[in-house]
Amino acid sequence: MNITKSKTEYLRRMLIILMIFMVPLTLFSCKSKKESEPSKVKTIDDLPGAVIGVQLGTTGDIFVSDYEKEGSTIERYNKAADAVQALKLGKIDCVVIDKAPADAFVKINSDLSILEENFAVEEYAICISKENPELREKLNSAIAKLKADGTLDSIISNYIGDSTKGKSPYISPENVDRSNGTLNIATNATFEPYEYIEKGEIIGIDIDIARAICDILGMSLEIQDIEFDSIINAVQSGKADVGVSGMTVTEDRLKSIDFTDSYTTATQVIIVRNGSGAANVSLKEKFENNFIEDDRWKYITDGVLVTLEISFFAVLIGVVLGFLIAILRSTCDKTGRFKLLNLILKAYLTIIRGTPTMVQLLIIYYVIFASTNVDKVFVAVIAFGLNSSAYIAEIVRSGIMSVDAGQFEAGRSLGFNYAQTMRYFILPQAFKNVLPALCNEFIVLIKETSISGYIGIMDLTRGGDYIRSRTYEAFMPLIAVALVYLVIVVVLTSLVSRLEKRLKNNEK
Amino acid sequence: MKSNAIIEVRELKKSFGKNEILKGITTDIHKGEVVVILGPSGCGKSTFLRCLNMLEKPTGGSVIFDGVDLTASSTNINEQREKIMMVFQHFNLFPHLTILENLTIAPRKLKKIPADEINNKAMELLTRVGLQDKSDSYPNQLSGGQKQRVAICRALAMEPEVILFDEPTSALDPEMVGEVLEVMKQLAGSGITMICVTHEMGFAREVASRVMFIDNGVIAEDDTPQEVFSNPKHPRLKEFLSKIV
Repeated sequence: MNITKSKTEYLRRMLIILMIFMVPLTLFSCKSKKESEPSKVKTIDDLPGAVIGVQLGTTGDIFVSDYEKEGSTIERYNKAADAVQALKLGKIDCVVIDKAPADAFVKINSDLSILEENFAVEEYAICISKENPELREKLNSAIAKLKADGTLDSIISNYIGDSTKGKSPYISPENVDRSNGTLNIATNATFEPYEYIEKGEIIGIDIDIARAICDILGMSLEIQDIEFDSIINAVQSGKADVGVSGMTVTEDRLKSIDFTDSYTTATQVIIVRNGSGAANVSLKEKFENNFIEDDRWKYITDGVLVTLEISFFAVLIGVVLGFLIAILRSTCDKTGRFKLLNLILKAYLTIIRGTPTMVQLLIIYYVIFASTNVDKVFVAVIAFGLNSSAYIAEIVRSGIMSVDAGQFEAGRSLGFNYAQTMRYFILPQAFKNVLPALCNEFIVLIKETSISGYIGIMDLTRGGDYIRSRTYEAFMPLIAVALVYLVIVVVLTSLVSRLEKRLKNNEK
Repeated sequence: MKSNAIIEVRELKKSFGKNEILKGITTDIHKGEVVVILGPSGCGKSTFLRCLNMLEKPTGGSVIFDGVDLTASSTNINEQREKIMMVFQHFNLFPHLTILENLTIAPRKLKKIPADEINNKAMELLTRVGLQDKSDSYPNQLSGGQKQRVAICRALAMEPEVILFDEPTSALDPEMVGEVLEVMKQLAGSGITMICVTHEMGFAREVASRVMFIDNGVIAEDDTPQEVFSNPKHPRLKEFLSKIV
């Protein structure tokens, strides 16, 4: 009876704490003064000295970098939508971006305008490894064919131009023989209208062009959605055959990668605030726009499942490997056996604990599994599992060492061998001692999986990012994602503290 | 009498680094004997005791238990330890197990004795030391004297041939020493072989069949309690007794 009472009490307290955090957050999120002021950038000549936003690694980024010498500050965002969001909030003065996505942004944000002067004109092409000239030739001839028969123009006009939009969708011819293998393309689907996600599917000009090319070459298409600045890596390492992501040919890129002939030209434009202020949208509308429309809530729910899947299996690997390492290491400490193994394990722990998890994740994906086409979730499970094992190993080892030496002697003197003594007497006590620290490590691990997006996994964080890239709104998706993580952690913590209590009851 | 030695110790040596603690100990311990080992602190008496069940690995000499050389690498020491139990100064009960489980885990796991049987036996043992109502408690709920009585029961549950006592009353409050010594006295009459490192002179005088005085890593005197206490020969023993009594 007592337990049920304290549980409801606990839940109520959690809710109150949540409310206390949410209220000021909601208030602060409302308005900043700068939002309704027009940008100080009125023409290209105003760019020197301004704060310019771009998407990291895009041609816009490369072009505006020259302005850094002239006193401009360049803010590089992972997603174009983040840059636009920052512009809306008055954090930056303008965004340099491709014309087509800029049109899409401006259309749904009445407070933003595109400057009439174009910033630059550039040509988009497909990037391909230098070691694959054969495929490059094939792609070039396919592109030439698409240009010649008008398919290319009809694909582009299906996405750009108010009067032609949606009128000429690309439809693959029937009965295409796809016996020539698979074309694996890497893209970053946050770049409307070239590549973006609608109703859970990646679509856009680039995607349709890739489909058309596959139809000509008799190949089947496979799409990988990863971060823009990882695309070249992916192509170089063979994770993808080609990168199709509105990519412009530049000198720097040519050093590491080849390009096909260009399939379209695009214009870089400048988006600024026009001073009209954002339209007032009610919370309810915002909520509907972010979660209900297009079934966007599914990005959150699907993402949670992926996050939980990665976390669960990573914890499993971490615990098994961590206990093993801890037992071997403390056996060496206690008995002097496994000296060489201990040295190797020590090096392992030093490396894993001495490098950032994200770097490990990227190394495991791009270097260790470079040539094999493995499931990304599997890669993430391995990466986070190995990472966690190092921390768990040291936590458990400290637990083993904290058990009184007399316990060990008692076990041995009764006739138990080393392994049995560990199993029946030392580990149960060590486990209880380190449970709070282990729980802490699990919490860290769950939240750390939020970097899975770097190798293109649609986890909870990335799900939220997708909603943001479609709705150009930061508040609701971010808070929703944060809340879901919070709930997961609270549930986990309460489960562990229940276990802790049960183990402790034993001793009172 | 000499023929039924249960433990033969031959030229036993033990060093920790350069520090030689045991400098060659040779003695026979017979079935049913109650041997009390005396000696000034640091003389090596605890080390000697711990060498008898290989908790300390001797650096020289041999310990032969019931015809089996414990120092030989071919010997399965775990099997032999089942017959030589140890009672520790700090009890070393398992805090995560109940009193009953503390008594039964070794017989169950090592001797594969069925749970019913060993539980009954454990309850019998606890009843003998007056702790039958503590069977479901945890060690932390017990007083020091109670803990040590449980530790003795834990050793007895394995039905050993020898029990080694390593200063069993040294960590106890004075008023609890009596209850533990009482249990040990009962035990001494039962025919089990006991080797005790202790400072309880009363116990040595009354219960021991033999008193061994270790000084500076060797056995300085080894005789009946009457001889040792009323007619000590070794000057170090005389000095030791004069300080204690």
